[in-house]
Amino acid sequence: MLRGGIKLSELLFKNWAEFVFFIIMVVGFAVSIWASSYSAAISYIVVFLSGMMGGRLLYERKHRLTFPYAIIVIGFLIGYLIGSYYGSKKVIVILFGLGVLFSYQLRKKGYIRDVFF
Amino acid sequence: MAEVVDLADKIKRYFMFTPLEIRSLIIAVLITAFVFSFREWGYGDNFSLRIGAFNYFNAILIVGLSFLVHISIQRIWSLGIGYRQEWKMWTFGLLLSLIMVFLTNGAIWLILPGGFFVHHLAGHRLGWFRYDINYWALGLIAVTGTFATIFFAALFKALGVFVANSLIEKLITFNIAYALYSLIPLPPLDGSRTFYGSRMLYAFSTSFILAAAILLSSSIGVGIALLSSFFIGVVLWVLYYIFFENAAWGY
Repeated sequence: MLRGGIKLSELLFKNWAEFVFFIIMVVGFAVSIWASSYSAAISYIVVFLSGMMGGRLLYERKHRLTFPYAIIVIGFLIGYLIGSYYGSKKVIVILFGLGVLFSYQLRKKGYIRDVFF
Repeated sequence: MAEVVDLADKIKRYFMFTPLEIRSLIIAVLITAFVFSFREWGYGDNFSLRIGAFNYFNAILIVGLSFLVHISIQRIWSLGIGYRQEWKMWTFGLLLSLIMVFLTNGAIWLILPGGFFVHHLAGHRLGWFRYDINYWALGLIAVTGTFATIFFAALFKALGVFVANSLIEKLITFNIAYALYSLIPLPPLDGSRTFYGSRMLYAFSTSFILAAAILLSSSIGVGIALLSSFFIGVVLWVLYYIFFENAAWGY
Protein backbone atom coordinates (compact mmCIF):
# COMPACT_ATOMS: atom_id res chain seq x y z
CA MET A 1 0.00 0.00 0.00
CA LEU A 2 1.43 3.39 -1.00
CA ARG A 3 0.80 6.84 0.47
CA GLY A 4 -2.82 7.96 -0.19
CA GLY A 5 -4.21 4.42 0.03
CA ILE A 6 -3.21 3.40 -3.50
CA LYS A 7 -2.01 -0.16 -4.08
CA LEU A 8 1.28 -0.62 -5.97
CA SER A 9 -0.38 -3.11 -8.33
CA GLU A 10 -3.14 -0.56 -9.11
CA LEU A 11 -0.53 2.12 -9.78
CA LEU A 12 1.37 -0.19 -12.12
CA PHE A 13 -1.83 -1.23 -13.89
CA LYS A 14 -2.94 2.37 -14.47
CA ASN A 15 0.47 3.72 -15.46
CA TRP A 16 2.07 0.71 -17.20
CA ALA A 17 3.07 2.70 -20.26
CA GLU A 18 5.12 5.17 -18.20
CA PHE A 19 6.85 2.36 -16.30
CA VAL A 20 7.66 0.42 -19.48
CA PHE A 21 8.76 3.69 -21.13
CA PHE A 22 11.25 4.24 -18.31
CA ILE A 23 12.55 0.64 -18.34
CA ILE A 24 12.95 0.65 -22.13
CA MET A 25 14.72 4.02 -21.93
CA VAL A 26 17.22 2.51 -19.49
CA VAL A 27 17.62 -0.51 -21.81
CA GLY A 28 18.21 1.87 -24.75
CA PHE A 29 20.81 3.77 -22.73
CA ALA A 30 22.65 0.53 -21.77
CA VAL A 31 22.56 -0.84 -25.33
CA SER A 32 23.84 2.47 -26.66
CA ILE A 33 26.78 2.59 -24.23
CA TRP A 34 27.60 -1.01 -25.14
CA ALA A 35 27.32 -0.43 -28.91
CA SER A 36 29.29 2.83 -28.88
CA SER A 37 32.15 1.15 -27.01
CA TYR A 38 33.08 -0.53 -30.35
CA SER A 39 32.55 2.17 -32.98
CA ALA A 40 30.01 4.59 -34.42
CA ALA A 41 29.29 2.15 -37.27
CA ILE A 42 28.21 -0.62 -34.86
CA SER A 43 26.09 1.95 -33.02
CA TYR A 44 24.36 2.88 -36.31
CA ILE A 45 23.73 -0.78 -37.23
CA VAL A 46 22.29 -1.54 -33.79
CA VAL A 47 19.97 1.49 -33.83
CA PHE A 48 18.70 0.55 -37.30
CA LEU A 49 17.97 -3.03 -36.14
CA SER A 50 16.30 -1.68 -32.99
CA GLY A 51 14.16 0.56 -35.21
CA MET A 52 13.12 -2.54 -37.15
CA MET A 53 12.01 -4.13 -33.88
CA GLY A 54 10.01 -0.99 -33.10
CA GLY A 55 8.39 -1.14 -36.55
CA ARG A 56 7.30 -4.70 -35.89
CA LEU A 57 5.75 -3.67 -32.59
CA LEU A 58 3.89 -0.73 -34.13
CA TYR A 59 2.61 -2.88 -37.02
CA GLU A 60 1.35 -5.48 -34.56
CA ARG A 61 -0.66 -2.74 -32.82
CA LYS A 62 -1.89 -1.22 -36.10
CA HIS A 63 -5.63 -1.47 -35.54
CA ARG A 64 -5.50 -1.37 -31.74
CA LEU A 65 -4.21 0.99 -29.08
CA THR A 66 -1.01 2.42 -30.62
CA PHE A 67 -0.10 5.55 -28.67
CA PRO A 68 1.49 3.96 -25.52
CA TYR A 69 3.54 1.70 -27.78
CA ALA A 70 4.73 4.64 -29.86
CA ILE A 71 5.76 6.37 -26.62
CA ILE A 72 7.67 3.23 -25.55
CA VAL A 73 9.47 3.04 -28.91
CA ILE A 74 10.40 6.73 -28.58
CA GLY A 75 11.60 5.98 -25.04
CA PHE A 76 14.14 3.54 -26.45
CA LEU A 77 15.37 6.18 -28.90
CA ILE A 78 15.71 8.79 -26.13
CA GLY A 79 17.72 6.35 -23.98
CA TYR A 80 19.86 5.45 -26.98
CA LEU A 81 20.55 9.11 -27.78
CA ILE A 82 21.56 9.83 -24.16
CA GLY A 83 23.97 6.88 -24.16
CA SER A 84 25.64 7.45 -27.54
CA TYR A 85 28.94 9.25 -27.25
CA TYR A 86 30.31 8.29 -30.69
CA GLY A 87 28.58 9.22 -33.91
CA SER A 88 26.07 11.86 -34.90
CA LYS A 89 22.80 12.06 -32.99
CA LYS A 90 21.02 13.19 -36.18
CA VAL A 91 22.16 10.06 -38.03
CA ILE A 92 20.96 7.91 -35.12
CA VAL A 93 17.47 9.48 -35.23
CA ILE A 94 17.30 9.11 -39.03
CA LEU A 95 18.46 5.48 -38.97
CA PHE A 96 16.02 4.61 -36.20
CA GLY A 97 13.16 6.20 -38.17
CA LEU A 98 14.25 4.40 -41.34
CA GLY A 99 14.37 1.09 -39.45
CA VAL A 100 10.82 1.60 -38.16
CA LEU A 101 9.52 2.57 -41.62
CA PHE A 102 11.38 -0.23 -43.42
CA SER A 103 10.11 -2.93 -41.05
CA TYR A 104 6.56 -1.52 -41.04
CA GLN A 105 6.39 -1.33 -44.84
CA LEU A 106 7.83 -4.86 -45.29
CA ARG A 107 4.93 -6.16 -43.24
CA LYS A 108 2.32 -3.84 -44.73
CA LYS A 109 3.22 -4.91 -48.29
CA GLY A 110 3.18 -8.57 -47.20
CA TYR A 111 6.83 -9.35 -48.01
CA ILE A 112 7.34 -10.84 -44.56
CA ARG A 113 4.91 -12.26 -42.07
CA ASP A 114 5.82 -13.67 -38.70
CA VAL A 115 4.41 -14.93 -35.45
CA PHE A 116 2.28 -12.60 -33.34
CA PHE A 117 0.80 -13.32 -29.96
CA MET B 1 1.41 -51.62 -42.56
CA ALA B 2 -1.74 -49.55 -43.14
CA GLU B 3 -0.36 -46.79 -40.85
CA VAL B 4 2.85 -46.58 -42.88
CA VAL B 5 0.95 -46.36 -46.18
CA ASP B 6 -1.34 -43.73 -44.65
CA LEU B 7 1.61 -41.69 -43.38
CA ALA B 8 3.39 -41.97 -46.76
CA ASP B 9 0.25 -40.68 -48.46
CA LYS B 10 -0.10 -37.79 -45.98
CA ILE B 11 3.55 -36.86 -46.51
CA LYS B 12 2.99 -36.88 -50.27
CA ARG B 13 -0.04 -34.62 -49.94
CA TYR B 14 0.79 -32.21 -47.12
CA PHE B 15 4.56 -32.16 -46.54
CA MET B 16 5.35 -29.42 -49.10
CA PHE B 17 6.47 -26.03 -47.76
CA THR B 18 4.31 -23.07 -48.75
CA PRO B 19 5.93 -20.12 -50.63
CA LEU B 20 5.64 -18.01 -47.44
CA GLU B 21 7.39 -20.72 -45.42
CA ILE B 22 10.18 -21.00 -48.00
CA ARG B 23 10.68 -17.21 -47.99
CA SER B 24 10.68 -17.11 -44.18
CA LEU B 25 13.08 -20.05 -43.97
CA ILE B 26 15.49 -18.39 -46.42
CA ILE B 27 15.50 -15.18 -44.34
CA ALA B 28 15.96 -17.13 -41.07
CA VAL B 29 18.78 -19.24 -42.53
CA LEU B 30 20.61 -16.21 -43.97
CA ILE B 31 20.43 -14.28 -40.68
CA THR B 32 21.31 -17.24 -38.44
CA ALA B 33 24.20 -18.23 -40.73
CA PHE B 34 25.50 -14.65 -40.55
CA VAL B 35 25.32 -14.78 -36.74
CA PHE B 36 27.00 -18.20 -36.69
CA SER B 37 29.87 -17.13 -38.97
CA PHE B 38 30.30 -13.63 -37.53
CA ARG B 39 33.79 -14.25 -36.14
CA GLU B 40 35.05 -15.97 -39.29
CA TRP B 41 35.41 -13.01 -41.65
CA GLY B 42 39.20 -13.18 -41.92
CA TYR B 43 42.25 -14.11 -39.86
CA GLY B 44 42.30 -12.58 -36.37
CA ASP B 45 41.58 -8.86 -36.72
CA ASN B 46 42.30 -8.79 -40.48
CA PHE B 47 39.10 -8.67 -42.52
CA SER B 48 38.96 -10.85 -45.65
CA LEU B 49 35.90 -10.89 -47.91
CA ARG B 50 36.99 -14.10 -49.65
CA ILE B 51 37.42 -16.08 -46.42
CA GLY B 52 34.31 -14.51 -44.92
CA ALA B 53 32.15 -15.36 -47.94
CA PHE B 54 33.46 -18.94 -47.93
CA ASN B 55 32.70 -19.38 -44.22
CA TYR B 56 29.32 -17.70 -44.63
CA PHE B 57 28.46 -20.13 -47.45
CA ASN B 58 29.47 -23.07 -45.23
CA ALA B 59 27.37 -21.64 -42.38
CA ILE B 60 24.36 -21.34 -44.74
CA LEU B 61 24.70 -25.04 -45.60
CA ILE B 62 24.98 -26.05 -41.94
CA VAL B 63 22.12 -23.87 -40.71
CA GLY B 64 19.88 -24.72 -43.68
CA LEU B 65 20.36 -28.46 -43.23
CA SER B 66 19.86 -28.27 -39.46
CA PHE B 67 16.65 -26.21 -39.76
CA LEU B 68 15.30 -28.58 -42.44
CA VAL B 69 15.96 -31.66 -40.28
CA HIS B 70 14.36 -30.01 -37.23
CA ILE B 71 11.24 -28.81 -39.05
CA SER B 72 10.87 -31.90 -41.26
CA ILE B 73 10.81 -34.30 -38.32
CA GLN B 74 8.24 -32.12 -36.55
CA ARG B 75 6.18 -32.03 -39.74
CA ILE B 76 6.29 -35.78 -40.27
CA TRP B 77 5.30 -36.39 -36.65
CA SER B 78 2.45 -33.91 -36.87
CA LEU B 79 1.16 -35.55 -40.07
CA GLY B 80 1.36 -38.91 -38.32
CA ILE B 81 -1.06 -37.67 -35.67
CA GLY B 82 -3.37 -35.87 -38.08
CA TYR B 83 -2.16 -32.25 -38.08
CA ARG B 84 -0.38 -30.15 -40.70
CA GLN B 85 2.44 -28.10 -39.24
CA GLU B 86 3.16 -24.56 -40.45
CA TRP B 87 6.44 -22.87 -39.62
CA LYS B 88 6.68 -19.11 -39.13
CA MET B 89 9.75 -17.04 -38.55
CA TRP B 90 10.11 -14.82 -35.49
CA THR B 91 11.47 -11.46 -36.65
CA PHE B 92 11.91 -10.24 -33.10
CA GLY B 93 14.17 -13.20 -32.26
CA LEU B 94 16.14 -12.85 -35.48
CA LEU B 95 16.68 -9.10 -34.96
CA LEU B 96 17.64 -9.72 -31.33
CA SER B 97 20.21 -12.31 -32.41
CA LEU B 98 21.65 -9.79 -34.92
CA ILE B 99 21.84 -7.05 -32.28
CA MET B 100 23.47 -9.40 -29.76
CA VAL B 101 26.08 -10.59 -32.22
CA PHE B 102 27.08 -6.99 -33.00
CA LEU B 103 27.09 -6.03 -29.31
CA THR B 104 29.21 -8.99 -28.21
CA ASN B 105 31.42 -9.02 -31.31
CA GLY B 106 30.21 -12.53 -32.15
CA ALA B 107 30.82 -14.04 -28.70
CA ILE B 108 27.14 -14.81 -28.08
CA TRP B 109 25.04 -16.18 -30.89
CA LEU B 110 21.33 -16.54 -30.23
CA ILE B 111 19.43 -19.04 -32.36
CA LEU B 112 15.80 -17.88 -32.25
CA PRO B 113 14.49 -18.52 -35.76
CA GLY B 114 10.77 -19.04 -35.18
CA GLY B 115 8.02 -21.35 -34.14
CA PHE B 116 5.23 -23.47 -35.55
CA PHE B 117 1.49 -23.72 -35.60
CA VAL B 118 -0.66 -26.68 -36.56
CA HIS B 119 -3.71 -26.99 -38.75
CA HIS B 120 -6.31 -29.59 -37.92
CA LEU B 121 -6.75 -32.19 -40.68
CA ALA B 122 -10.34 -33.10 -39.85
CA GLY B 123 -10.54 -36.35 -41.81
CA HIS B 124 -7.19 -37.60 -40.57
CA ARG B 125 -8.05 -36.96 -36.92
CA LEU B 126 -11.17 -39.13 -36.99
CA GLY B 127 -11.01 -41.80 -34.32
CA TRP B 128 -8.39 -39.99 -32.22
CA PHE B 129 -9.05 -39.46 -28.54
CA ARG B 130 -8.95 -35.64 -28.10
CA TYR B 131 -10.14 -34.95 -31.67
CA ASP B 132 -9.24 -31.24 -31.70
CA ILE B 133 -5.90 -29.47 -31.47
CA ASN B 134 -4.57 -29.92 -27.94
CA TYR B 135 -1.58 -28.82 -25.88
CA TRP B 136 -0.21 -32.34 -25.34
CA ALA B 137 -0.04 -33.01 -29.09
CA LEU B 138 1.64 -29.63 -29.66
CA GLY B 139 4.18 -30.43 -26.94
CA LEU B 140 4.99 -33.78 -28.52
CA ILE B 141 5.40 -32.26 -31.99
CA ALA B 142 7.73 -29.59 -30.57
CA VAL B 143 9.90 -32.02 -28.65
CA THR B 144 10.43 -34.29 -31.69
CA GLY B 145 12.24 -31.40 -33.42
CA THR B 146 14.55 -30.86 -30.45
CA PHE B 147 15.31 -34.59 -30.19
CA ALA B 148 15.89 -34.76 -33.95
CA THR B 149 18.41 -31.91 -33.68
CA ILE B 150 20.38 -33.57 -30.87
CA PHE B 151 20.32 -36.97 -32.65
CA PHE B 152 21.47 -35.24 -35.84
CA ALA B 153 24.46 -33.86 -33.89
CA ALA B 154 25.10 -37.35 -32.45
CA LEU B 155 24.96 -38.90 -35.94
CA PHE B 156 27.60 -36.50 -37.24
CA LYS B 157 29.68 -36.98 -34.10
CA ALA B 158 29.66 -40.73 -34.87
CA LEU B 159 30.56 -40.01 -38.50
CA GLY B 160 33.37 -37.75 -37.29
CA VAL B 161 35.23 -40.84 -36.07
CA PHE B 162 35.72 -41.86 -39.72
CA VAL B 163 35.83 -38.44 -41.41
CA ALA B 164 37.57 -35.63 -39.52
CA ASN B 165 36.36 -32.32 -40.92
CA SER B 166 35.97 -28.80 -39.52
CA LEU B 167 32.59 -28.49 -41.26
CA ILE B 168 31.31 -31.53 -39.34
CA GLU B 169 32.66 -30.05 -36.10
CA LYS B 170 30.77 -26.81 -36.78
CA LEU B 171 27.60 -28.73 -37.62
CA ILE B 172 27.79 -30.62 -34.31
CA THR B 173 28.38 -27.40 -32.35
CA PHE B 174 25.54 -25.61 -34.12
CA ASN B 175 23.05 -28.44 -33.59
CA ILE B 176 23.88 -28.77 -29.89
CA ALA B 177 23.37 -25.03 -29.45
CA TYR B 178 20.17 -25.10 -31.52
CA ALA B 179 18.77 -27.94 -29.39
CA LEU B 180 19.56 -25.99 -26.22
CA TYR B 181 17.95 -22.79 -27.52
CA SER B 182 14.88 -24.79 -28.58
CA LEU B 183 14.36 -25.73 -24.94
CA ILE B 184 13.79 -22.15 -23.78
CA PRO B 185 10.13 -21.94 -22.70
CA LEU B 186 9.58 -18.63 -24.46
CA PRO B 187 6.85 -18.38 -27.10
CA PRO B 188 7.10 -19.12 -30.04
CA LEU B 189 10.11 -21.39 -29.42
CA ASP B 190 9.56 -25.15 -29.18
CA GLY B 191 10.32 -25.19 -25.46
CA SER B 192 7.17 -23.17 -24.73
CA ARG B 193 4.97 -25.70 -26.59
CA THR B 194 6.54 -28.57 -24.66
CA PHE B 195 6.30 -26.71 -21.35
CA TYR B 196 2.62 -25.89 -21.77
CA GLY B 197 1.95 -29.36 -23.25
CA SER B 198 3.28 -31.28 -20.28
CA ARG B 199 5.63 -30.21 -17.49
CA MET B 200 6.72 -33.83 -17.05
CA LEU B 201 7.66 -34.09 -20.73
CA TYR B 202 9.50 -30.78 -20.45
CA ALA B 203 11.39 -32.01 -17.35
CA PHE B 204 12.50 -35.17 -19.15
CA SER B 205 13.40 -33.52 -22.47
CA THR B 206 15.32 -30.69 -20.78
CA SER B 207 17.32 -33.09 -18.58
CA PHE B 208 18.02 -35.39 -21.52
CA ILE B 209 19.03 -32.64 -23.95
CA LEU B 210 21.20 -30.81 -21.38
CA ALA B 211 23.01 -34.04 -20.47
CA ALA B 212 23.39 -35.00 -24.14
CA ALA B 213 24.72 -31.52 -24.99
CA ILE B 214 27.38 -31.74 -22.29
CA LEU B 215 28.35 -35.35 -23.04
CA LEU B 216 28.40 -34.91 -26.82
CA SER B 217 30.70 -31.89 -26.37
CA SER B 218 33.14 -34.08 -24.41
CA SER B 219 35.38 -36.77 -25.86
CA ILE B 220 33.38 -39.84 -24.80
CA GLY B 221 31.73 -42.20 -27.30
CA VAL B 222 28.41 -41.28 -28.90
CA GLY B 223 26.57 -44.43 -27.77
CA ILE B 224 27.67 -44.03 -24.17
CA ALA B 225 26.85 -40.32 -24.26
CA LEU B 226 23.28 -40.95 -25.50
CA LEU B 227 22.67 -43.84 -23.13
CA SER B 228 24.01 -41.88 -20.14
CA SER B 229 21.89 -38.88 -21.15
CA PHE B 230 18.80 -41.08 -21.26
CA PHE B 231 19.46 -42.41 -17.75
CA ILE B 232 20.24 -38.92 -16.42
CA GLY B 233 16.99 -37.72 -18.04
CA VAL B 234 14.96 -40.51 -16.43
CA VAL B 235 16.53 -39.97 -12.98
CA LEU B 236 15.93 -36.19 -13.07
CA TRP B 237 12.44 -36.75 -14.45
CA VAL B 238 11.57 -39.02 -11.48
CA LEU B 239 13.18 -36.58 -9.02
CA TYR B 240 11.18 -33.73 -10.53
CA TYR B 241 7.98 -35.76 -10.09
CA ILE B 242 8.76 -36.67 -6.48
CA PHE B 243 9.90 -33.24 -5.31
CA PHE B 244 7.69 -30.92 -7.33
CA GLU B 245 4.91 -32.37 -9.45
CA ASN B 246 3.63 -34.78 -6.82
CA ALA B 247 3.50 -31.98 -4.24
CA ALA B 248 1.92 -29.54 -6.72
CA TRP B 249 -0.96 -31.95 -7.47
CA GLY B 250 -1.52 -32.40 -3.72
CA TYR B 251 -3.23 -29.02 -3.44
